Amino acid sequence: MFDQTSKLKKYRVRVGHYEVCVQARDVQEALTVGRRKLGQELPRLYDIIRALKPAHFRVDYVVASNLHLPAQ
Amino acid sequence: MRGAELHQLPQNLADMQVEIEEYARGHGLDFFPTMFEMVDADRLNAIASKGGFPVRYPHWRFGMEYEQLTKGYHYGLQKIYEMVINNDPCYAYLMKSNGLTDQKLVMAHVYGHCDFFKCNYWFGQTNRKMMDEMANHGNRIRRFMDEVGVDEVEEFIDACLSIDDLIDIHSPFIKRREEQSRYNFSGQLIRADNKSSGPGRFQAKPYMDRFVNPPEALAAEQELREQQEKESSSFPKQPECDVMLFLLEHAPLTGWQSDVLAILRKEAYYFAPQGQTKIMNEGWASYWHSTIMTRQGITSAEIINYADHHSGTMASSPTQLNPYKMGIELFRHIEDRWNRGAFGKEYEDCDDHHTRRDWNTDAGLGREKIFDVRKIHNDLTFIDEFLTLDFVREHKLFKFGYNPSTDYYEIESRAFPKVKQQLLVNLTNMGRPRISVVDGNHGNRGELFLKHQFDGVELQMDYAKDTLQNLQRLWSRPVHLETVLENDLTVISFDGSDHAVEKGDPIEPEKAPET
Repeated sequence: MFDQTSKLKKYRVRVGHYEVCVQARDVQEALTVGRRKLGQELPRLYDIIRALKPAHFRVDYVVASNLHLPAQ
Repeated sequence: MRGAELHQLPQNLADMQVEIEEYARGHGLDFFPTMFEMVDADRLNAIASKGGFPVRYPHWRFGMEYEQLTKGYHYGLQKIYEMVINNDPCYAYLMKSNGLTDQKLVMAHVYGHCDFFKCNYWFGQTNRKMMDEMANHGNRIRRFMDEVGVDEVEEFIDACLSIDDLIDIHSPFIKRREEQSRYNFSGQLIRADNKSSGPGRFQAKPYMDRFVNPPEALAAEQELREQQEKESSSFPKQPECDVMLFLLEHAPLTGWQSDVLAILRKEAYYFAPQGQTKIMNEGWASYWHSTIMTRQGITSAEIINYADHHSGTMASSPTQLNPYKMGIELFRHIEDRWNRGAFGKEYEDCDDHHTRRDWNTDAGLGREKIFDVRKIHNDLTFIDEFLTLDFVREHKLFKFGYNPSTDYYEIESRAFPKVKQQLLVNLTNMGRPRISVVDGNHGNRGELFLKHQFDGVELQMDYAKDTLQNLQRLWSRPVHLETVLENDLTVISFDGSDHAVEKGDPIEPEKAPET
């Protein structure tokens, strides 16, 4: 159950050398969504990603300055 | 049990076997004890030419296949990486000249096969002591060769082998008729007792007889009884798909001939599940070698070598279906669908492409599902059940055929139903024609009449004629085969000296259902 009232923020979920960007309300939700997205992008490692402990993931909040914007 | 202790493999390979076996068991694979043997290319080709069994009956065909394999190997055209036998224990052969990475890959692949042999339902009825039985078959046939001469036995084997695909591949699982005891000699008596006499009448006074036993009901019953009697005297009662069994029971064979035919029939049934599960078996083994190797098996130094050989095995050609590729991709497709929960009524009813593509209920049932699939399916049901429109699109499958106007083979269709239908037709009865004995006393002259169940593909005439010739040799009376040639019902016959082809009426094209 997630807090429905807070706003969505961007998080970067990283495992090993692979990372995905997700939108979530907090770190916990980011981890859940990131795990699901990683499983979808790497279907052959689905069972491993599913079984990994949260400590194996690195979840970073993405602030605007961290975003790579295209050069004008 | 650790296979490495039981036979001689170099120590590094024996250690490797223990390691790979551990990984395989860790993933939930279940297999008989597996014995690896290291052999050189020449020995491996010799074993492969005998279908994987080092000791079999002597026959020129094995020599011919050995020559083909050896030449192919020396000219650099082909190379057998491994060979594994469905037996308890499983026997697997490793090629001496392979590198260590290849040996590791082969071991992981072999454990996939061994699990499939043990757990797949279609292999459930095969003899797990076939290595011994094949050796016994060899001894028996060698003894017959000593007694009646090599040429005679070999010629007889040739005749039997030309019909070794005329078996009923489903008969190990379906009881088609009551087993007959060899020692039951009362058949004649039973037939005499059962002989019917006129339709049954109810007792009635003469003035009521017309109402109690109405003449039209009696006539109908009489007709039914005659029909039943005719059916019970027809021979065989039902069309018999197992032509080898029919010959075994009814052909005028001598003792040694019956024994040889029975041996070859047994071997045909042993090999049948391998033909029925080619895509699944290779797909399953490839899935597991890929999973074991990429997750645990290889070191960083071995990656290029592994990737090169794996991709070589998976290579697809536009004109030929690679069972390894098809199988592994279908298993991965199933695993992915069941992981995402992309199955069931709600998913099937969803029409929106994007929703279906992004469907994810996080069900996580993929691994469990593929283990279930490998347990109960064969290639035909596997394709029928799991080949989806998405899969056909993703892998760009198509149906091709000959275009007489351009004199080229061209892509006929990329439409999903046609592609699937073509695949299913190719896999039905292992792609072999379905032929059954319909009359063992044709024209009351003791002639054999067979019928080809035509499903759109004509028989190859030269093969059909040669097979009839061999059948006639076994039956020793004229044989006939009804089939369809150029849209006409045709009967091909061989009477012992000449072939005859008799064309009949054109077959009615099936009417499309009205909409």
